[in-house]
Amino acid sequence: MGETYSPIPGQSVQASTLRLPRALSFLRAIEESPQDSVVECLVDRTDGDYSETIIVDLCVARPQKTVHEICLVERIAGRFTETDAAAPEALALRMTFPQVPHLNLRKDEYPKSLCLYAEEWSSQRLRWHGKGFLERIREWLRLTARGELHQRDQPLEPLMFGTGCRVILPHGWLNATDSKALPLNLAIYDSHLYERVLMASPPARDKDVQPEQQYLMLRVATPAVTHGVIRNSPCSLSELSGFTDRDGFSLISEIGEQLKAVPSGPVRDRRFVLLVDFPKKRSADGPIEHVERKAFLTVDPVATVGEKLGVWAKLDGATLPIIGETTLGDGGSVHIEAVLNVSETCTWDVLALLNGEPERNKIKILSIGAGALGSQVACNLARAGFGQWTVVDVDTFLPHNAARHAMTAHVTGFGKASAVACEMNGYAPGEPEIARGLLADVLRSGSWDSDLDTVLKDAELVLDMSASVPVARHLSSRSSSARIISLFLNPSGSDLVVLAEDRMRTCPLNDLEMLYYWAAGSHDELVNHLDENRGPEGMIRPHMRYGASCRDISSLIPHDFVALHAANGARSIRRLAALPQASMAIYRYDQHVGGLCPVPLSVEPLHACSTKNWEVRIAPDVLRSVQQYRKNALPNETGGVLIGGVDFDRSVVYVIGVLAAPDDSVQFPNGFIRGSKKLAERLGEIERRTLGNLGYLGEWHSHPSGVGTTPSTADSQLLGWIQEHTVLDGRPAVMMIAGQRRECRVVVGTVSNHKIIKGAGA
Amino acid sequence: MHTVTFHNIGNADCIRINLANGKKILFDYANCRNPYDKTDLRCDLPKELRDDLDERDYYDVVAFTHLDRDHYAGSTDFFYFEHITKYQDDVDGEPRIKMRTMWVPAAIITEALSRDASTVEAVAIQTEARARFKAGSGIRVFSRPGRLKDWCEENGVDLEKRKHLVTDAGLLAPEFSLDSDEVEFFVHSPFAVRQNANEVEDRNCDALVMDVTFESDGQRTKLFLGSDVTHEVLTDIVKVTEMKNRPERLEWDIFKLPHHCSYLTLSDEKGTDKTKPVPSVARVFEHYGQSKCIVVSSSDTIPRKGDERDTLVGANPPHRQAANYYRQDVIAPKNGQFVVTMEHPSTSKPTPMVVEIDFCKASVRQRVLTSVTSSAAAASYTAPRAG
Repeated sequence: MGETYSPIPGQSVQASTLRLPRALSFLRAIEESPQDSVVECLVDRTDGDYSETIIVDLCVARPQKTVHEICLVERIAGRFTETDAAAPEALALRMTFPQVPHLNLRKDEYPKSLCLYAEEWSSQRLRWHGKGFLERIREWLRLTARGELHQRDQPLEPLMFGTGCRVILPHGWLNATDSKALPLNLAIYDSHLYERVLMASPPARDKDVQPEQQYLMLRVATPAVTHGVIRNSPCSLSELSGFTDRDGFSLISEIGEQLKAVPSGPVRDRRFVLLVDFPKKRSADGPIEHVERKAFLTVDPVATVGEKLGVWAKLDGATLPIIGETTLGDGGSVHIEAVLNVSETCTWDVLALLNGEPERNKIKILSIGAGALGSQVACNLARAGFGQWTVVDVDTFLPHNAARHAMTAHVTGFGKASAVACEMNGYAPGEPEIARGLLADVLRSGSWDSDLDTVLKDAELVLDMSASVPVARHLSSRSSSARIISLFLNPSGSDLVVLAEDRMRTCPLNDLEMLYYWAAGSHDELVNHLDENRGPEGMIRPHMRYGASCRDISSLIPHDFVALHAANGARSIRRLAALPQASMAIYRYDQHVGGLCPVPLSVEPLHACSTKNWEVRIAPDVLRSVQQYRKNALPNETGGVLIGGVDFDRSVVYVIGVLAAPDDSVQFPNGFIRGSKKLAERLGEIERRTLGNLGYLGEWHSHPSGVGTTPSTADSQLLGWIQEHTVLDGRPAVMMIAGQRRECRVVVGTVSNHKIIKGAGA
Repeated sequence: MHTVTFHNIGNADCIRINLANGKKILFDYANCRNPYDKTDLRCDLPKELRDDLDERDYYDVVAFTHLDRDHYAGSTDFFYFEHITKYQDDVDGEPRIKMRTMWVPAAIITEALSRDASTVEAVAIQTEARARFKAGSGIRVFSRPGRLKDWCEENGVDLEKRKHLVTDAGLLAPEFSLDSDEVEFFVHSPFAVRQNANEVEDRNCDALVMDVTFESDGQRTKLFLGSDVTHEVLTDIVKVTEMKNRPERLEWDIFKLPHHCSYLTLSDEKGTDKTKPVPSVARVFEHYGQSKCIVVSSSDTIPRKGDERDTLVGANPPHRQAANYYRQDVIAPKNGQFVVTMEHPSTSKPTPMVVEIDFCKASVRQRVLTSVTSSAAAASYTAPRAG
């Protein structure tokens, strides 16, 4: 028995007369493929668009056991148009070709048009070639025969083609009510769009809404349907019921019953929209995997639909129920104006998921600083549903802030904190708020004090994005269990600094700050890190004054730098929040690389000891260094200069770095005279590189073995000499003596005021 | 997925089975190609096999179904003979391929071969098989053990201690199982026919016929490997198997035709345009063949009516009349495929024919010239640009 094939319009021609490049490429591919053969070539000009068609008998690796009846040899037409506006079409010509998934919907059922590619023709055409087309058809047929074209992990096919329209419902709105009839308003915000979007809102919200925007929505769920073949959208309720009615379910009866419950009155003047849930299964005996939701929009008022379906009769302008046994209409006269895809507004959980976070992190965050960096970091994290925020800032949004802030000039005159919190909450409207703004100055007392105290007590993470050393130090010293992560940019905006306390706060932010300064002062890669006058690309960047006050100054940092660092900062916070340990990192924009490069920095908790009036905090590296220098110099003594800083506010002395003996020093077994060669230059360099945060602190020297670390008479005199210099700055004199067995004696102010520390091994 | 590859080597056999678990089995080896003849369209068999083996230097099993040249030609230039030193050195700089286990019918052990230049390779295979049997490892012999009795006595081999190397017809070759390999090999021949209550006659001891059952995701696919048996032997196989009430052992999805599509597989009468099979053979093909089955003729192209190859008296296979029977009476009603190794995918450019076996049973792989492969489904989609 011979197969019958769909006719293809056009005039049969010799293959040699074809001229369209894609047709020729396809022809060549067939000729090179030994198992396939050209049946006929056609050209067609009937609809004004010149086209060429090549009909091929194409061999398919059809398996023995098939899901869809595909033949070993399928007759396929490849159709190419001169305009090349759409993808070349592949048509299965066999009249018995089965109805299968992934066919293009066409006006005529035959020939079937194969849906070969998921991507748009505009992208696909860049790579299209005849051989690929031929093999894609072959593969499409093979996978269809095997029932594998629609892959197991691929979402189920939509049931019907959409109309490019969508309605957006407030999230959870439908679940919040048992009522099957919901009044709502539908508004189009931008009617020029190709895809019309209707925003739904409860009727109470808009009082002055136009009558044509007022709807009553009925909700219906159909029996489960097996996905596979995509259908045309229905044009009437009758067509829709032809699609839904099975297993004893009648759409019209369902609507009729619901309409009967709609009270008479103005609600029946609202327009009729039907929301249908289609539970979908992958296979007839499979579980329900997905519920496809569509809304069917009519132009009829509810009363008219009821009349057309025979639920009500109109009498003297009023709709009255029909009493007794009635036969409902088929709904053919209820025209469906549009089929709408149904979406809901986003939830925080969905935002987290879309950001690659399977589970939302609800960590309680107190965020200080809603400036350029702070606002962008906070907004980046809120988009991922990350955290429960209190955003604190005392500043007001001024016009110049628009250059780099997350907010626009629309909020000029508003407090930055509340504006940013409002923006953050706006990512998931209708959801519980994720952020609140608090107008407060953490360094000053005010009406916000108790509020700030409560928030700090409750917080699990404090984000310091204030770009203010006093704020950082204030936060670090507050007794709170919440760890602090501090983010700030260097003056030029080229580097982002991220200082993260450990979860137990054994490395407080103040210590991290000092370690960071030492890195800035000593690390080869950070020579210009804190250079205030150098721009990100190395050029000199002046500041700009935006007001008359001497403090009204704003740095000239490009917004893209802030955005770059804010993105990286947000990413760092997400990562660091999950790690228990302290860390310190600098991310530098490298103009040669064209991206961020990390400068690796290590963190060790400082040794701490208290002396009279002063708390001394010493970097372990200092102890290691002096021990190493001592060991190298034995049997002589050696020494050098201590580098550090003093926090007068909190009476803390930080011993952070150490310099070895200058070349002109004199070392002997029972004494050491520190020289001065190039010392002033080195100290000056450290002060410059740390913006004066680190500098000369005092002297250190070693004692040989067997004499302990007790200061000698000479040592006492040395301490006095140091005092003479430091007293001008109001600082105490600091002297350190390194002895055997890793013992170090720290003397602060007077000889009697000392502490012995066992340092790490050299 | 398992694959069965039928090599395009003219009227000769070499079938490679690649199991999903990585094991490889070769049924026969015949490299008859003339590398200096550009019109010789037969594949370069050692190259094809080495390409597939890649780094591996062995087959788990090599079966020689019988000692005809079209089933062993070139073996001594390809395989590593454990017991023959001169067949152990590299060939053209390539190491020889080892046969971890040889499968042979008893005749290969017992047959008296004439020793002349034409049988050197057959003698080598026999020598290797005998030495392995004597050594007690690396071989399986298919027959009733009793069949080997005389040879064992003559060669001082204790048959009792070799019984584990012998598998009788009607049993499964113990090297593979459905549980561990998703495949089992059922032995149809060599076999014995019970003449009466006391007498058993050994027949057709010279060829190995097997029914192979593959399993993939619970789906079974059956391959019938017919060696070169005639319709008389096939008839006996049908009778014995049906008598034992094991019709499932006769069902097949893929049938490797015996003797390169010879009419003698079907009947003694060739027929004018179509061979009419004897009743039992007709049952094998028409009753036991499954829907959309695949019949493979490992042969030259089928001659057309009136061709020299067709009209010659005593013409060698393949025979047009036999092919017509398969096409018209077996393939057409079952919506299957008849594939001739030298015609696949085309007579001008034949290539080895690969049958893929998985949960959709068997399908003939279509040769794809470009990079558009079975992963094309995924490759046809460009991942959406993230924004």
